[in-house]
Amino acid sequence: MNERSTHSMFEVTDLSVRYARGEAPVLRDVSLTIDRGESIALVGDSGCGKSTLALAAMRLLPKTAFIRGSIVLRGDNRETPVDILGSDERTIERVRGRRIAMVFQNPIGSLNPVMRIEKQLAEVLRVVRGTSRSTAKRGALESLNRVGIADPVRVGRAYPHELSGGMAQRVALALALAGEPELLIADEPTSALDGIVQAQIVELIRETQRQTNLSLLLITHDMAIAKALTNRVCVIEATRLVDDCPIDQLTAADRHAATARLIQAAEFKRSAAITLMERTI
Amino acid sequence: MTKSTRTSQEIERQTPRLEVSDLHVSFASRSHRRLQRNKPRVHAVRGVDLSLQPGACMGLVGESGCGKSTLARAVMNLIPLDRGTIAVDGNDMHRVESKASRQRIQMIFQHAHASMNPRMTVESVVTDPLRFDDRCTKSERSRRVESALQLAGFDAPLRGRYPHELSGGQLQRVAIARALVLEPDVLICDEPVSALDVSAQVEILAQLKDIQQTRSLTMLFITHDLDIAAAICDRLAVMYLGRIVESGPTHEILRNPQHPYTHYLSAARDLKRTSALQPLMGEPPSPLAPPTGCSFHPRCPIKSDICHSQTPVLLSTSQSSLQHQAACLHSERMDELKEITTNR
Amino acid sequence: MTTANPTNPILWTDHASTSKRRNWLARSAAAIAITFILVALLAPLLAWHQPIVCKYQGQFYFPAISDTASRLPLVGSWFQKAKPFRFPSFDARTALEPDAFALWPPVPYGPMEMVADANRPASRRHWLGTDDRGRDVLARLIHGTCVSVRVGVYSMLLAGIVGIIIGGAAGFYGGAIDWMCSRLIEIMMCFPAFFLILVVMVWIGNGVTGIILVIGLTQWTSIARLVRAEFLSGRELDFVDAARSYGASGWYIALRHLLPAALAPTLVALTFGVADAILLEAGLSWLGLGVGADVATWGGMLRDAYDQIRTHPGLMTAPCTAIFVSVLCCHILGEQLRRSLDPRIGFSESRS
Repeated sequence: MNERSTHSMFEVTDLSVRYARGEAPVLRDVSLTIDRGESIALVGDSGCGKSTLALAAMRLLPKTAFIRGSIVLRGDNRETPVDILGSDERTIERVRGRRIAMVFQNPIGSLNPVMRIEKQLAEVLRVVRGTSRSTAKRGALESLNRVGIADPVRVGRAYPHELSGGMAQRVALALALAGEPELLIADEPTSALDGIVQAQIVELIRETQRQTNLSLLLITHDMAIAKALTNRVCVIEATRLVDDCPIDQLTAADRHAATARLIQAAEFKRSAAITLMERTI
Repeated sequence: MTKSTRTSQEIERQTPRLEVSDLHVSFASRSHRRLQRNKPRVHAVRGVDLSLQPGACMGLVGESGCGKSTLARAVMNLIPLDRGTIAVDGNDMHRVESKASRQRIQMIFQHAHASMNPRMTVESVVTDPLRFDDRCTKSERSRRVESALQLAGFDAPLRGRYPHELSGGQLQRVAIARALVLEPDVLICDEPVSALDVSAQVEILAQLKDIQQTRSLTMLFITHDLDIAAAICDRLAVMYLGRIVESGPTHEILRNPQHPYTHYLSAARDLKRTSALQPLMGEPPSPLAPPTGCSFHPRCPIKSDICHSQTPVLLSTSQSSLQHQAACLHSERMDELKEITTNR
Repeated sequence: MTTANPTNPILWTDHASTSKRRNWLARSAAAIAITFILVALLAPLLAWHQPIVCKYQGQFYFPAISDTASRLPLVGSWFQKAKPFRFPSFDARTALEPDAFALWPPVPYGPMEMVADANRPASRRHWLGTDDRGRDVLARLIHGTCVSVRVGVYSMLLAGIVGIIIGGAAGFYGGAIDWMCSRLIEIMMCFPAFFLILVVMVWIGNGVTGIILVIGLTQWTSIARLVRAEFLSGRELDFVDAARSYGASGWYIALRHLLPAALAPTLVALTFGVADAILLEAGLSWLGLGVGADVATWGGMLRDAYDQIRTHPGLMTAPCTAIFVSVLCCHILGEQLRRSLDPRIGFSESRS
């Protein structure tokens, strides 16, 4: 444990969240650590509290929420650790987008609907990287190119509603990566997308991780995507973290029932297809 | 068509339960240029033929924007057709005025939540269709509602709740109950599980399959997920840009796709698990101006010059099954394509 | 898990207090509005020139009660007053024997009665003083409430009905009907409503019914636009498609599925509309084009007070306060209605 915490760059300790007085908690005593360059997945059914954890990590929870526990971003050893929940707003603003960035499930909704893509990107570049106004536009097109957009000029001129879901998710990813963050939180980045586009985005995230030393916190309900993108899976069931295991030990016999159920669900469609094929052949 | 086995001959003779022939649907583009004189038309469905035997479950698979939901709405008589016919047991649905014969097709909508009036309880949502069933007397209503809810596996104590108080899975069960309460012969399912968690998806799919088999419903199941279609459909039709590009028995299509697009769809499922394959890049072309010839040629790695000019038709390609058809001019080169995608 | 982290003071705010405060405000507004309505309904029991109960020539009479009953909406015409009290020349104050039993209303003066010297300050006999013609200000205020409430409620009912019919038809049928209804709405909105009302009032003369008709038939445009928008967006919703797919008729969809959704914003708009109607009526009466000089109204009181604003500025206070409070009440109530009928706001309040 001691040996491990020296490498960990992001630590959540005993986090509990309730949205209002008298309401049931949405997270209870959740602890997890992410090491530098590591990818972990937070898997659970909808309503289990996994998105709340993502919001807490960016300190985007409503001010009225009741929060206990701590979230610490360590970064590399030169920098002082940042206490996400305890710091003042200005410190947090320097963390958001620069050191922790986030991609949402609904990419079109997470973009500003009345601003052209290149302008949004240029603005983010100016704010988080301090790029000058004149070079920001070129930088915007470059970052579009980096997320696999073949025609950055045309996409840059477009408004968010003119993009397809997959294209918008690429743009959202470009926005998130603009600040060269250490940690990327991806909240169901592919659930709203079709099969082929899903595969494209999974491939893109994989490629990005290969190129940069980016840590990834993937939030999903689909064990298949978790397996494809990460090397450790944390399972949340009904507000509690019930399992935390490396991807290669997922199928071990002594896994928690919730983990087994989620794996089964992911396998079901595939296995049902196989049984059906066997039956009909 | 040449003679095949006896069983398929018998099938050919029967009138299909649901038959869609040469369906064309287009609508005025909702572009932001409101003042444009000649608004471009979106050609959502461009000549689709489907034929479902009684008790069949056909999966209609394609990416979003390929026209599969438009097709469902056209079948439900919710939008006007440009051309073509939709017939149930040989009766043209857009001609008959009788309510009873229209009620033989019912639909489950993609967003269960949006498809229910937020001001009505579950009970009244499911009762509502019965007001328009002339055969059903008032006293019979509650019995029929109860049996429909039971059939859909809905928790009876929750029937007094409002839609926003239910989970996605329960809500979809209400939608199923509402579609079944009129005891239709044909059920159209428009992405019934895509908004649900994987675990809820599994439950709903099992329930649907169960209902389909016990009631011998004819089902058209629309989805973008090949896994889901494969799990519950015995036949598949793959749609790309308003046309069917491949159709046939599910296991044939999954084992031996005869159209490059189907190949990529099926490869995308593996890509979520391993990283051995190259995904199909790019985006589908705009249905405002579909490409000439084969719609898939702008993204196809095995295209040739004739693909630009000649529009392929659905033809039976494999020797083993005449029902397996693909609309590709180069389906003999599929092995080549498989090599291209695996060697990255 | 019941306490927040004390080291995170930023994250600790008690949100309950803000919603409580809003609740308190809305409740007092509702209480005041109900008071206004009760005052309007029971005005003769509060201020009248005839007693509530009295013994006259050996018989019991209930003149103020029967006056109250005969003013009730819809059923008022069933009641008739006992004979001697029905004649205008009959003055209960002088006709009754001094020692006869009589229970008078708390303000024993009628709104048009000249009962004292002009411009008397507030006293035990005249709680708010008297006006330039020696009429009791409180009695006039109480009877002015009747006019304001009637004008506010009835004109908005009329506006609501017209608005729902025109807006609903436009939104539901679309096409040519929508085009015609929309142009009609636009024409009505472009026309300066106050000026239109002035012209019509001059033409049809004074009277409460006239005012109600004129306000109702000019103020329906915003309602119609709301209902049209609700119907238009409702038509696109999946549940309307679902209803069509199981064979529901157009009328059924409009009444059962579309109208309930449109009623909530309409109700809110109507509540705000009541405030506007009260202001409009007061403005018209102030100009002398309102209900008429023979009926006490807040606007009329303001006009009388305005004539001697230099000598007796205090006379403005009572009608001004009444108008201000009633309009404010309508606005607070409308805002609260809007919040409680909007499912999205309700959700975010319960969430955050």
